[in-house]
Amino acid sequence: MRRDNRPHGVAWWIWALGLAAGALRTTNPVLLLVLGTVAIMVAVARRSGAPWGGSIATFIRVALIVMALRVVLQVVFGQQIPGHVIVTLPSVPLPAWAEGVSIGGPVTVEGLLTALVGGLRLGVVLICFGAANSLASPREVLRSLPGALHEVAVAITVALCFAPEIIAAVLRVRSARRLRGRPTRGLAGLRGIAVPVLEDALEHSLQLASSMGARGFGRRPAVVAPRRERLAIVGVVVGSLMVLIGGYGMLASSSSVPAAAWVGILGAVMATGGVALSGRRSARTRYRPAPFGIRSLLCALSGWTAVVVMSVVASVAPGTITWSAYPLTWPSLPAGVLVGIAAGLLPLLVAPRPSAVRIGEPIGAMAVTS
Amino acid sequence: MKRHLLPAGAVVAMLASLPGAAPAAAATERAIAVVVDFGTGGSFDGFVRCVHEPEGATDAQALVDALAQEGLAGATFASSGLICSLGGIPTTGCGTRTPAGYSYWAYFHGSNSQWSFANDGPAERKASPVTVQGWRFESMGRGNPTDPGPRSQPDVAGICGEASPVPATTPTTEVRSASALSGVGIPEPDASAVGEGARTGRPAAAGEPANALTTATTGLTTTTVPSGSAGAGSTHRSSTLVATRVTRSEDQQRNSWVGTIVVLGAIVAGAAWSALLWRRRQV
Repeated sequence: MRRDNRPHGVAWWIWALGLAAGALRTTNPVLLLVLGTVAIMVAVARRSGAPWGGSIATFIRVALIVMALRVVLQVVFGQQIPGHVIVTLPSVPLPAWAEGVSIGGPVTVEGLLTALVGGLRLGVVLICFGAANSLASPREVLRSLPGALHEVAVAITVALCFAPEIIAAVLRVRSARRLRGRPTRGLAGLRGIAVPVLEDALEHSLQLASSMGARGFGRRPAVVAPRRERLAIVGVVVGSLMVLIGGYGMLASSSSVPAAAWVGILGAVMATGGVALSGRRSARTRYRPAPFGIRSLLCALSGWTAVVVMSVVASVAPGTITWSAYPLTWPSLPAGVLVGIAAGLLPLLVAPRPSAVRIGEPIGAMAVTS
Repeated sequence: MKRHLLPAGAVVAMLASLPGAAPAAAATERAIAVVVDFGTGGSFDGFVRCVHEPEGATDAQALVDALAQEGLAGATFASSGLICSLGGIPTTGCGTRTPAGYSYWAYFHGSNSQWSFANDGPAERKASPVTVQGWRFESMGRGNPTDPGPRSQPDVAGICGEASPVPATTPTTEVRSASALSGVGIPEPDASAVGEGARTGRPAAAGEPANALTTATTGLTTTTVPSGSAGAGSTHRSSTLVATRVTRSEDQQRNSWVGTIVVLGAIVAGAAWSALLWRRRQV
């Protein structure tokens, strides 16, 4: 498909997940802003020319909406932690049994800042995913999944077809309506756009399903060793759960998961073993697999320096990567962590600039072949 | 913008913490009993306060006011709303788990001479004049209702005096004397030892009326040390922790805002660069 030296799609996803993990690790607004900026800069500079290359803009918008929503919810239903009151809204007296809920009441600087930073944290995670979407073709990533996850990969590919292409479809329908002089904004515009887009998507899905069926996607080779198969499934399921629990234990600062790192590592080993075991069954070959070279490796690792530095800093000097509005203080600026996050800009040096005009990769069934 | 808000907010907070600063609200003020046990030593180590709150105020507000009146550092909260420290205890960490246990500030409701582990948060509970809000720092707790409560009786009448619900039409001055009668003294922002004097039964300095009804500390097993030194917040302190407990002096502003501005500038530059690049690629 392509023989250039762009980093592998999986590398982009590893990079973005590293930045997202960093955002979940800290509550320091400055560090969060730096993380978000790094993700946006790389995504904008190295995004693919394919239709989903612009999805970062959509994700940024969603992130802003999330932040605004958090603030509104804080103002209306927020916790009444004492602080510097800006304005006192009329509050609704609630009966004793609903004491935990409060509506209205004093709006404090601290409350607003806490909500804003909480929204920012979620927003940065969303932006990281948006960056990965912009940078890597979702199909290319799924193409590189191990054979054992083939069925899952196909299902996800079909689902993922929907998201980026819905953006393309919206743009298409909107420009068509604009050319016809119909409204593209407001409620009328929404109705005029939503119906053809949904219709388009449904039609597209059916088309994709039939073309995949014709290419033999639903076919499974006969099971040769049922016991090994079962062992592999148990390995994958239990291993993934352990990775999940271990990951939670490592990322959530006050969790009580004992030896979270070991649980995660053991889970990863089990899941990998299971995947490898059942992968032996798969008789599929991969068409021109994309190479995972040194550029891809550097890209992938550069996203994780932030989390590594944060973990080290948090163990040496706890309280530097966290921030709380109670009491109001300036967030601390651990220089090491800032450098660690800035290392996430490495793809700007490592990854080549995308060609100015890239003809979109084939959309639909053609690209699903794995 | 933050720079503007900070001092302005501090002024608001100072005004709010002054006794009787809100005469309009005095009509519906209620006396709230607060007990804080720092959890060290063999017996009760902390303070007992009666604060006056407008109706509808939360337990968190009463707690913050009680700490301010004691002259101690205020409550710090994590971004999740969890209480990290009261009066500067603990100095670091916030609900930290160690092999020895979970160290945190446990929250209790006290009534009928019994403490019950709260299953709600102080910020969501309206301060009640009939229950005592109790706090105890559990250095080796479990984080469940088996953790012990404050080592002091939850006695509303004893803490806030017999006339615990403040008469509805009490003018500000009478609120002051009422709270002096209740045995907790009036906090003066600059001389916290005054309140101590009143509470420990010695005639208070600075012209506060000495009171005969200093029954507040009955039932408390306190290790009272003479509080001759002005500015030492509370007398109920074991000497080992005096150094670590932080009095409400001024916020240590360790983190320079210059660095923050520089980093924010870099962020803005990066965002502008992205926007320019986006424009160019869009064309």
